[in-house]
Amino acid sequence: MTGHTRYSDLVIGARYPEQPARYAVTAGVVADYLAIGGGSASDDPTAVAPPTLAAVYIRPAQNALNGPPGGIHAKQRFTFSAPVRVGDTLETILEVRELFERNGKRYVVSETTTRNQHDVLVCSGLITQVWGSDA
Amino acid sequence: MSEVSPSPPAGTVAERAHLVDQDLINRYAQVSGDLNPLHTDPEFAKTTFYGRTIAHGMLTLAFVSQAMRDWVGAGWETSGVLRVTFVAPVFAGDEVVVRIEARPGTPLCKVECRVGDRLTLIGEAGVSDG
Repeated sequence: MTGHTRYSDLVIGARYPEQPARYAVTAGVVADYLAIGGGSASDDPTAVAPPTLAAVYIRPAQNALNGPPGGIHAKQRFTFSAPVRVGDTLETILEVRELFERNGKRYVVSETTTRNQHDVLVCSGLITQVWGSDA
Repeated sequence: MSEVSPSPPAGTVAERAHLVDQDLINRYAQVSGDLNPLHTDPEFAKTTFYGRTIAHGMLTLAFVSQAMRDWVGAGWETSGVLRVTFVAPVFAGDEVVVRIEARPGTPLCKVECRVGDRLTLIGEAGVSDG
């Protein structure tokens, strides 16, 4: 018993989590992310976040999928529709779109949709991941 | 590191190098909440196909994003598009070179990341004109 979602239990169309995963964008997270990417934060209390902060704010929805350790990211698409700012509260839902096996590896394709506190779409994503071992 | 033009003509190239060490991987894990032990636990990583810890694929997107912001300006934040494939792992200790090349006839630039001669990420990024 691993406690993780098994690949055989995944269903196309299933959404994670049951209620959209909420993420509060803080100045600290934006500064840390910028530093990792080689940038620097501004003093603006409503500064625009790097758009690929999406990789961070969609994570709670991905975590709800609860895959086993050892999985890896194969492909990623993001379409950024509106800026994300420090102070925003975002909600993300993840939907399983495709399941397939290739060369002995099991893949999951998921779509993420993120809206801000004004119900404005800020980012759509498509993740292709290799599922970790269920053993 | 080369300077990046805000309006790059086709063929213009920008390159940036970033050292990815275990500390950076751990910092990204904390920021992102992606605590997969493949990235953070050397003992676990030894049991995997890779044999040692690898960086989160998404970590390299932080490098790409910073380069794109400097390349195309604020449009990247409001109407950017990114499509990438992670083709090989980045290991702790690797130096990743991000290369962005403007192409004719499309607002999407070619994006690559390499460690030495090893291609680790390919794709395209830019500002949607739609």
